[in-house]
Amino acid sequence: MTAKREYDTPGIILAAIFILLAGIFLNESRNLTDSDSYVFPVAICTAMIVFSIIFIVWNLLKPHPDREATLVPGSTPRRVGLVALMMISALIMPYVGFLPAGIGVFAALMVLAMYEPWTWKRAANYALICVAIVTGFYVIFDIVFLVPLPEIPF
Amino acid sequence: MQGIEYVLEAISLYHISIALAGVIAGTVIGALPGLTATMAIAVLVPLTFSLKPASALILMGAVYTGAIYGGAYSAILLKTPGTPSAIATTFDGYPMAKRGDGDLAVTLACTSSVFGGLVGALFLLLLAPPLAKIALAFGPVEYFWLAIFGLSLISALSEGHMLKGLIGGCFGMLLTTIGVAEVSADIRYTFGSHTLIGGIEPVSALIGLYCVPVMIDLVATPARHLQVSTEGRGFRLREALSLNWRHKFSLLRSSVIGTITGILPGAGGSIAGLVAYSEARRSSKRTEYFGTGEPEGVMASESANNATVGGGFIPTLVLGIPGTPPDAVILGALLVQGIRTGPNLFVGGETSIVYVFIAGLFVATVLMLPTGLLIGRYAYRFIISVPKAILVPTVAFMTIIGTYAIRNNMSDVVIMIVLGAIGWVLDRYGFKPSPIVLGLILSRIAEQGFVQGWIIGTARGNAAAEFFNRPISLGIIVFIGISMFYPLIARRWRLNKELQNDSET
Amino acid sequence: MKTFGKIILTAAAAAVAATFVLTTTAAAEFPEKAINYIIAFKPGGESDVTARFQQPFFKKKFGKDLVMSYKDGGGGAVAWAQLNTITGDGYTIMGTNLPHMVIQPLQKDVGYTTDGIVNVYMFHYTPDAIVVTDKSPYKTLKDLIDFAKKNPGKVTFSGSAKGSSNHLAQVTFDRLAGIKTAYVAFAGTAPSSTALLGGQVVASWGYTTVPPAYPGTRMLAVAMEKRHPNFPDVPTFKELGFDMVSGAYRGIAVPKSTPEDIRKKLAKMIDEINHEPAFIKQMEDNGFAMLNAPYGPELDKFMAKAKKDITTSAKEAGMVK
Repeated sequence: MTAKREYDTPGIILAAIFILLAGIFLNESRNLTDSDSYVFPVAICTAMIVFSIIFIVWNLLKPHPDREATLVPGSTPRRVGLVALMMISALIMPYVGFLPAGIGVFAALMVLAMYEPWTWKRAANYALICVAIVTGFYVIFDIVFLVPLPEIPF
Repeated sequence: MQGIEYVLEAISLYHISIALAGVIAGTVIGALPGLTATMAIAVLVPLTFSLKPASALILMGAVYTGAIYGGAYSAILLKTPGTPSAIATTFDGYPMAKRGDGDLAVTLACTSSVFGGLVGALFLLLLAPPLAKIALAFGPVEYFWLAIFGLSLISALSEGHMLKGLIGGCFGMLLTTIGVAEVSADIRYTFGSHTLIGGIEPVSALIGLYCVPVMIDLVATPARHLQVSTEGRGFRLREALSLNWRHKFSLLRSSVIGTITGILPGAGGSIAGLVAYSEARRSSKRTEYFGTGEPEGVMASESANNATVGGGFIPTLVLGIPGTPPDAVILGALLVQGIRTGPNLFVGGETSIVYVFIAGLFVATVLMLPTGLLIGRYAYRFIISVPKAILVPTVAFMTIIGTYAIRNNMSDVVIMIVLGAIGWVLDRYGFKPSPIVLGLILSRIAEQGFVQGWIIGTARGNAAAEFFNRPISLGIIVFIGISMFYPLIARRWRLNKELQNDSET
Repeated sequence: MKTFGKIILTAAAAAVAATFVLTTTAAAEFPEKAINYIIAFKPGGESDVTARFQQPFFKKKFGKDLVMSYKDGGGGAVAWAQLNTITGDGYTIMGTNLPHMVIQPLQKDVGYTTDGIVNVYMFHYTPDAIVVTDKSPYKTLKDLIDFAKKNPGKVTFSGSAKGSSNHLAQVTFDRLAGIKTAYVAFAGTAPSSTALLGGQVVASWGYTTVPPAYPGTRMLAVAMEKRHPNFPDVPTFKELGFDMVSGAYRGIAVPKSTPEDIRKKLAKMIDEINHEPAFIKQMEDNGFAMLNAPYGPELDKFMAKAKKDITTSAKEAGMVK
């Protein structure tokens, strides 16, 4: 309808990344000597490259903008913060133990996900909830289901 | 009547309370992504040393049934299957919850699970020895085609973005090839990293791909997680039952598919749900609504995965071949007890244990109705009423600890989070998580089936013929063709009809 | 003053007594708490089942629990690579498997070395065996060899993953018997035996544990020194003129930092269980074969021989260069 040609640019870029990824895997396949090990992955890589090329060519010939993808409401720092905090908790847990790392990161996540103003009462309540939930997880997993969670090392 | 004593033993107060405790514990376990029925049963094994074998079996069966059902909660309310069996439940369950029908979806999952569970148990009771033969009829080639059948669902799940779906499916399959190859034992695609030797655990990957993107978007805006209606609507049980009744044939078909898939030792609950979903979608008059919150989709997946419980016990008890991973643990516990499974178990000296157990499985499945409705209501209320600042960290911790618990390995958690971030980016640009997850779950079955079928075929003189000349394979291939092209054909028909109508008026 | 001195003295005496009591009980009563037993595979597998057999005997004899946990991944490599990072106080032990632990470090850098793992006991093994179904036309090993000689490449054997003892046995046997067969690797004994029962393959390289677990199967020969007590009618390969004794061996290892006396104590405890008649009967009824290689020279000798044999056959099978 519109005069301007709209491409699904992110889609094309991602398809190119997938081609690259398949290429890396294909290259690594050359180290394998047993055909049982490489036949299937090579077939998958080939299929992935073929689909990605068709996708790119198809989109360049006849632009198909992905309208769904253009909308991004919300706060990007909070998004990044969530992933970063989860990652931090996974990385420090083996060194400081599940409970300390858990309570710290849980509290930080609460602050991150909070959209209402903090009051002293709310802060006190949330601190209690934070300790209760992390301890609750600890009891369920470590004590009831015998999952050896990282212990406090001292 | 002969056999009544087994029923009486199973409904003794003692066994009913064991079953009740088992179902409740199982439901909670299933709802927590990462905690699986297999693990819960492994924890219970030492109890079998102190309990009577039949009682221990009832407890394990109840935990198992409950866990498979519990997986539906997180699938519906968080878009994260609590167990892989509930993957197909997310397709329509989460859209239902999003639009405010979460309560109905949870209740529907409960009634459908009970129905499916009862069908599976009924087959176990009446037809176990003959049905066990199905477990042996499926060879590598059949598993290969079954996996392809599952993958063909990609075309249905990514309407409008077929190519993106296919690329995503390939990406999922490629991820599973990392690590030690399960049958050829080669260490491949680890790129020198020790972390990658363990490979990408499918369950932790699906937690990352489904749950992390939901949380990322949850934290970004102050908006509510799910729509809620203002007036309380109770359980909406009547509505759920009338939906069940309206789709009774679909429900029954899904349960039968679930039972048969459960019998297949190489398949399991996730494939049962996917195949049943695919079939329900194909035969429905509302095909185009599947994936947008169609209750029949939830019914198909949930009835099928609970039917695998009874189905899985069929080869376990008759042939000593575990139908599903939890069955393998139960079989091990039986061995330690000195109980030998096999055809004799159904006719010989230890018959009573089997029949008390089957009766117990019925009791546990029926108990799932009240407990499931109650726990479901509580879970739903919790998810809709808890403030975001508590919901986000709780769910984040659930994914971290759940992923860790699968293999007691922190590297899996790191991989889960990384995949989650990647999944969010891919999802935004139209590469949906479901095709990737299908690739992850089905790749191993497809690869092993292909390699084994090829070697056997070559030894028999013609590898290609091996893949296309076997009756069951041909049957599955026909189904693959139907489910891939039926929507296109149906649309063509409908268009033609509309054209005719137009020209008539 | 007098009372004060008295108090000091009593306190000191009490302290000395307390330390004495504490140290002696600690020394005499290992274990004081439950022991964490890590299985490097999924729950429900053979490594899990044999550990489960030990579990009740351990509790009965030593009063404490063995608590199982599972660290599955990389065919066991993930768990073994982490073993030496765990605190070595005797309260964490881990199941170990041969030939995996020899072959994996030879293939690639997997984060552990065979000699870096401190085994305290190798407690049983599952001998390799050729398994067929009851309905199979091959009544003896000779029948099968004759058929294979007439039809090279046509005999298909199912078996555990490549590099498993099943696979190495197939390669060795092909050489010894002068035949050529096809090996179809499966993800473990259960799927491999299922394929055999379903008629997908001609025969199976399995273990002596297969016939008790899967009714409808029988063995043609077992790779043991002497016949298995539970199957007195099944000949050994040696009797039939093929010099091969092989199987999958299982043991228990501890982190490297575990003190010498605790290693010995653990070895002694496992040894006690291994000599319990009820335990032996249970193991043998299920097709396992007992093995007693406790920490010390016996284990060293066993490991040295196993390492040499496995390396040779893995090279022959093309698993390592």
